[in-house]
Amino acid sequence: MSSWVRRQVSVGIIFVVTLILLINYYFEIPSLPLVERGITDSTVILASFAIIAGTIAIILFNMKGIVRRTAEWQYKALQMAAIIIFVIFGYVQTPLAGGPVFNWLFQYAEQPLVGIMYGLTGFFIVSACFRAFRARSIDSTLLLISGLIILFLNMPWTIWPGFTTAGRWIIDVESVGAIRGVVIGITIGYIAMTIKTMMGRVRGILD
Amino acid sequence: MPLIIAGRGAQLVVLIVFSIIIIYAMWAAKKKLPFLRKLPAFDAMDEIVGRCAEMGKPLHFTPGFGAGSVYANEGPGLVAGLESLGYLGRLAARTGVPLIVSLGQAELCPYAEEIVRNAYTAEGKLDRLDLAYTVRFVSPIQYGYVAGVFDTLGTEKPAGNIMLGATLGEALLFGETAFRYGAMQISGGIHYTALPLNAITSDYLVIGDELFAIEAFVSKNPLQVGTLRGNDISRILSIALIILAVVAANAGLSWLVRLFSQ
Repeated sequence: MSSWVRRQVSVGIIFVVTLILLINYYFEIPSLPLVERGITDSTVILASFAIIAGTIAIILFNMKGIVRRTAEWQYKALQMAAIIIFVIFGYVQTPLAGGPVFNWLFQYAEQPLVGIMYGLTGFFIVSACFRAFRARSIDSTLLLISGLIILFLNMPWTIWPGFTTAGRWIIDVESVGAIRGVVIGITIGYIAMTIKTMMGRVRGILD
Repeated sequence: MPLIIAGRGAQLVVLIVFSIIIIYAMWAAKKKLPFLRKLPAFDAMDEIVGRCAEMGKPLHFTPGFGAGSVYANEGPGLVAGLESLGYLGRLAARTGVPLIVSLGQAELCPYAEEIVRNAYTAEGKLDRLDLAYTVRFVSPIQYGYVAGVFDTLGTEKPAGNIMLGATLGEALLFGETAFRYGAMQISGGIHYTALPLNAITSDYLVIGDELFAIEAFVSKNPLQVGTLRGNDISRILSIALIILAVVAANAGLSWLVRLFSQ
């Protein structure tokens, strides 16, 4: 099959699938929800195969580092061991069947690590704010003042009731207006992106 | 049984009108290319790649985590972010800068590999490309992805860090980490919640739909530039509709307000 034909077939599939999903969203046509369900189920299956491909890529990358003894190869070996352990117990004891070892590994090994990473966020915010909140220009001064007002709003005690009023105004009026403007722009961008995709004008995968 | 689902009629009309506007603008752009204003973040891409080349350090790119899947609402944002990867790939191939792409979505891996391969092929430098080094699927779990990218930033110490797509809270973490290693940064995406985080950690910011404009800036393709023109016209129409709705609501024109919710 020539590349031109392959491209046209790809664009055709994208066009038909997108049209079916759009029509199903706006119109009540009896048989269409079933077709839409089939399409979404197919994407879930594709995503599952993609996970397999991604895992193989991770294994190949890390194995290369372990074999070549690159810097901190021990952590790569640890990652490989973790993948193997989780895969083995995932198959032997599926979590849906209430596999105790898998559930234990998830709850007491993975979740605390996720919590650690999540907990770092607060420190990074402080560091970033210390860098960003400087009165260098009018914009940065406004940012600094707004940040301070919101900070005082969220304090456990009220220094001055005006901070509550000003803070709520910033959150409920000013920010909401700006956010909605950004969301409208993004939504219109989504529409344009969909049209370009349906027409096969998205560069990269179809080139 | 009504054909159009209740509450979605007005949305459908708006979608059709905006689509017609965008398609017309794409067609009209073939005759005369619309004016493109300067986008500082786009101009900075060349500067960042040049900086990486001078310092002999790699360039790091990530489209963000989104919801961990390209099939979620963040899908178009992730794809739009990867469109800029094509331009960055060509710059990296041309200047010999090592390029690292960190992904949190397995289904984006073949897409990113294809983009990078095409970019290097276009520059005639395909022999220099090591896909296993360049395109890295890190983890489908958000903070596993964050930890993996921390490792990449700490090990590779890039001189440039570009985060365009659907970045969330990780934008703050990556931005601060990359800053500590002296990287120059561009970030932005479709998530308005991450915009403040992008703004305080990056040198250049891409806000919302500017992300979709990068491809037009790169290619100057009339269709792509025409899409931007269509977006602008649609945006003006949205503002007009909002003003009309506000006036109608305050003037007691309830039939007009009900029309918008049909």
